[in-house]
Parts: sequence; C-alpha cells; structure tokens
Amino acid sequence: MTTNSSGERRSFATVADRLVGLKDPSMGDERERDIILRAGTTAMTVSIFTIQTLGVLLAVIGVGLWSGVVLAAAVIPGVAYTWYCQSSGLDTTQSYAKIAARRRNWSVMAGLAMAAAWIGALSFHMLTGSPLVQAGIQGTVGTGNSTAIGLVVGGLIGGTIGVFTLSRSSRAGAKRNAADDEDDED
Amino acid sequence: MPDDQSPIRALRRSAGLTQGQLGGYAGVTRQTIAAIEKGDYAPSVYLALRIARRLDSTVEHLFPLDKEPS
Repeated sequence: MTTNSSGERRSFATVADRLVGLKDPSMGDERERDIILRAGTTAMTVSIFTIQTLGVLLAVIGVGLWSGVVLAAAVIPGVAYTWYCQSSGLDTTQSYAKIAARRRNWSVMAGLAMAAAWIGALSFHMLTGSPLVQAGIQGTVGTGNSTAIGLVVGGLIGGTIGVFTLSRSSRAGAKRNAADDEDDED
Repeated sequence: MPDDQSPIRALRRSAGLTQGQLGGYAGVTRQTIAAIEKGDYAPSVYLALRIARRLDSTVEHLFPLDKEPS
C-alpha cells in the first residue's frame, strides 16, 4: 500500500477501494488480487477504445453532435485513474514520462486517428446533409460549409493543444523523475 | 523455471506437504503455490518468509536470484 506525503491515504483512494471491494474475500490471495487488478486495467483500456469507437460509429450513422457526449464519456476512466493515483501519492506525469517512445507514439496516433475520424464523419454530415452511412437517424447537425470548417479548425486547434499539453506534462514528469534520482534520502 | 528444478517443490515434497497444505499455512491458494513453484509468480516478501519458515529454509535458498521470473 502506498501513501501520500502526509503518510495517510486520502479519502478518494479509500472510498474507491471500498467501492471495488479490494478487501472483499472475492479478491483472493495476493496473486489472485494481482491478476484481478491487471484484468481491471485491461478492461479499462478496452473500454476506452470501445467508447471512442462507438462515438465515431454514432457520428458515421448520423447521430450528430450527440456522439460527442459518448466520446466525452471516454475521458471518465482516465480521470478516475489519475485521481486514484494522485490520491495514493503517485505522480502520473512521472509515470507518463517513462513511457517507451514507440508506445507513446502509437497512443497519440490512435487518439488523433479517432479524433480525425469523428471530425471527418461530422463534417461530411454537415457538408452533404447526409451521414456517411444512412441509418434513418435524425441527427443534430446543421448543414453548411462554415460549420464544417469550424469543426475541422476547432478539431485541429484542440488536437494541437492536447498534444502540446501531453508533451509539456511529460517533460515536467521527466524533470521530477530526474530530481528524484538526485535525492539520496527522503 | 521447470518444476523439477524448483527448490520449493523439492523441499515441500521432502516435508511431506501437498501444495494445498503449504498454501493453507502460508495463507494462499493451492494454485498460487503451484504458480510460485513453476516460476510464474513472484510472492511478496512476507509470503516468501512464511513459505521459507514452513519449509525450514531461507528465502535466498528458495528464490535464487538467477531464477527470477521475468
């Protein structure tokens, strides 16, 4: 069990542990708990990609801007993950700074591809008045070049800000890693 | 790590214990003892100490560094 700098686990991690039943007998012994927790991480990763794909598919079949609500839901597992880590004294930016370059690049590319697919599907719908795949759904998009262009430009700006923020966060984490390595004692 | 080279397995057998019995003493399941003997799972420090105490051995002897699971 890890603790934050005050020596006590903050309330979010404690509440979260109770919610997931970390001390319930169903978690088994230490090896079984390790497997279950790793399975949970796998489930979180699969869920995020599934939710993002669902958002894109909804845009493709003409649900329109409401598909963005589904995409926004994909952020929730990551927020909970980061909150738990910080609550337990783990700096996630330091962890992120250690990601292997290839893995980080693939993750960023996958995220940008999802964003591009969603923006592309919505823009097509706005420009043509019809979704990419007709499914008989009345979507909430207006038609017109200006809206589509606005969406694309907004997506580019948002994507750039996102990449810049991640990069800056990674550099900050790397600096903190270096500072930790220099410390002899706590 | 092959079973027949596992010092845990060898000592457990010479002590006349089943995996389930050793697991019961150490507070883990039979499957976990099996995974430890196969080298598929590295136990925590305190689990390793309990196993070593039951088998009248040392952690260093039961878990040689050159056999560390990847």
